Amino acid sequence: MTLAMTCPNCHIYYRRGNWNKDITKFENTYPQALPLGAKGKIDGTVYEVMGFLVKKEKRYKYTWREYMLFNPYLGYAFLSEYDGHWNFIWPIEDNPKEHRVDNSFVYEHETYQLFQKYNAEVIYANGEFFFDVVDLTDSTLTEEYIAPPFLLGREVNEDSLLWFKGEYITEKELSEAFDIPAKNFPQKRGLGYTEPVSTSFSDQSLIIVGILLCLFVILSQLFLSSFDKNTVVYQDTFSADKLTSQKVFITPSFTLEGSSKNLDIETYAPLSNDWFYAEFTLINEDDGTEYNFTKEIEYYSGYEGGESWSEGSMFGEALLSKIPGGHYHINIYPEFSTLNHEFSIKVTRDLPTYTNMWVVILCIIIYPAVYLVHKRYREQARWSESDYSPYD
Amino acid sequence: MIPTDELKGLRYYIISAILLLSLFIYSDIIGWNWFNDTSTEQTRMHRVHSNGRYFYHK
Amino acid sequence: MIRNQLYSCPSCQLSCIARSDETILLTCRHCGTVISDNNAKKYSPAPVPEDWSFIQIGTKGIFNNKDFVVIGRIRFQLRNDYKNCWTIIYNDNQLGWLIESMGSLAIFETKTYSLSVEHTSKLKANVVIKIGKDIKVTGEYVEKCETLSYEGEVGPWKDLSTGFFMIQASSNNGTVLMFTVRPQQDSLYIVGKKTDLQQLKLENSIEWNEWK
Repeated sequence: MTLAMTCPNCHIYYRRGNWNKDITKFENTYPQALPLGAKGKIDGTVYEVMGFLVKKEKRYKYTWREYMLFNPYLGYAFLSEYDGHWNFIWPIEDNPKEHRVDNSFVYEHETYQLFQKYNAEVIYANGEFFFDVVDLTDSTLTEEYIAPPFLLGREVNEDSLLWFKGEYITEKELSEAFDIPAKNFPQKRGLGYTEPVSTSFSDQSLIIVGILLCLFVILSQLFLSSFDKNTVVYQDTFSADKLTSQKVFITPSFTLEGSSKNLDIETYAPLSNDWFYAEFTLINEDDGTEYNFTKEIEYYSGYEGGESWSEGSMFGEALLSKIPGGHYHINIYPEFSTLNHEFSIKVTRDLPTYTNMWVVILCIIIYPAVYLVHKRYREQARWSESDYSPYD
Repeated sequence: MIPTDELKGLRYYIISAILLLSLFIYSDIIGWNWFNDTSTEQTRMHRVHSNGRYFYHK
Repeated sequence: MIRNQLYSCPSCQLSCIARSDETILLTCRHCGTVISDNNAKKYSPAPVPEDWSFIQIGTKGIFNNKDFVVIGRIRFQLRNDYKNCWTIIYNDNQLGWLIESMGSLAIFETKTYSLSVEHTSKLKANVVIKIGKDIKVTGEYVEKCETLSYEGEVGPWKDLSTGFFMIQASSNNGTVLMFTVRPQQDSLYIVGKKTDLQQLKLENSIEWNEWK
């Protein structure tokens, strides 16, 4: 079965077959993280490390390492390592691209994108091989398509067309599989070309969960709003000529039913190029709690340069949170201008409000948004290594 | 629709969202508006300052 | 050969029985000598080398709801690969091929077809060819056969000598064609389906306990 091997003593590479009796000598030796003969369990299958290769891309001259693995039931597979990032790669029987020529295609529900095409050479080999890795590598054009964490490799030479599938494997998984401390593996640098930005969920799942959560928030809001009573508990108009010597209007007592709810105090003053200002004190007659707040409204309008304009409003609104039930009245300390002499207020209990809902939705959206932006940034970084980047 | 292991991967996101949702429901029940509230200054007056059924302010 | 007929080994005289009329040769289970109706000398196999195959004579399985048992094999040593072409006999006494190499498995019918020289010359890796009206296949590899070995009872393989090129071509629906090609000649091919371990439900295979 073994057709090519290296001498453990002098490190030459030679073939067993009749077709090529040449001996290959390598200039350098290279350290390997997984020793020959090491056994590891990957995806439930025990593989043994049979051979180790260092390959060099012919054009850009970068190098990477491949470990040939073997299992008698499943045949051979590879572990490929570049910049400390590992892929587990195995041959497949399919022709995933069929006869299409595009750089992108769908296979097993994943969209694969051409990442690189290269010719490589073996610059170091150690161990035994089921085919002539040196000759085959030298004559093969490889295309790699990625859909992180997966990759598909297409190796073509004059005599063979082979497809491989690969999947990113973490140092931790590899360390556990081969029972070799992760510190023995090459230092990880940058983002691996098949390294997923998140290993635990897909974009689609994140978006679906985000949408479902938002829908749940909206439904909760609609459900809760249906119980909001939105009751006007007091309204009246006040005139400056009724102002007491203490400069205060004191409303009659009104009752706020139920437990803690919000309270909306709407102020209206019929203003024309004027302002109105008041200090309000909402007083709980049962326990003496006072809620002090102020409101200033102003409204100006005119006609200038052939156009009419206005700014401000004759309405002002104060929304008070968490006002317990009980008996209340409001003390109003108004300041009138010379023109305006009246205002009115309307007090509404248990008003449906939507800002909390929008805040929750925003918070729910923030994580996927930041994640997807981050992912896009990382994807751009990943593809910056490729001649076929979809981001160019 | 979503694989179980992916839901597991999203557990911190889902748990955070559920906590936020609980706060949201609780806030609605007690009438707590987180942001568009009017700023109030809250004080506690003692009954000795009251006159009849009214509290006089200032 | 004739089904259920006794054949004596020319070397050790051990009696061997053929299980199918389609069988073209047997190897003596005692001394390995080739036994055939014809002159056994024309088959000059190399000894079967040890390999890591998990299939053995006596391995049972199921294909297309039919039970089968492995009764022999031809082992083709190719330039960069090997093929164990196991002869299987179904429970209806039909023969078939279970071709296995490095974990890849396919079941073939024994019926052999011929392809004209003209079409054969187009057979190459990564080239799509049309066979008849229906089958469109892509060439996957071309490998020269360097040595042959036999074991057990061998079905009707048409070209039992080395030096041919083995070409595998397949379509995406799993149909696979195995050609034996010699320059300037019509090629022969058999037709099969790619399959896997789970589908075949193999029993009595070799247990490589060190890989468990």
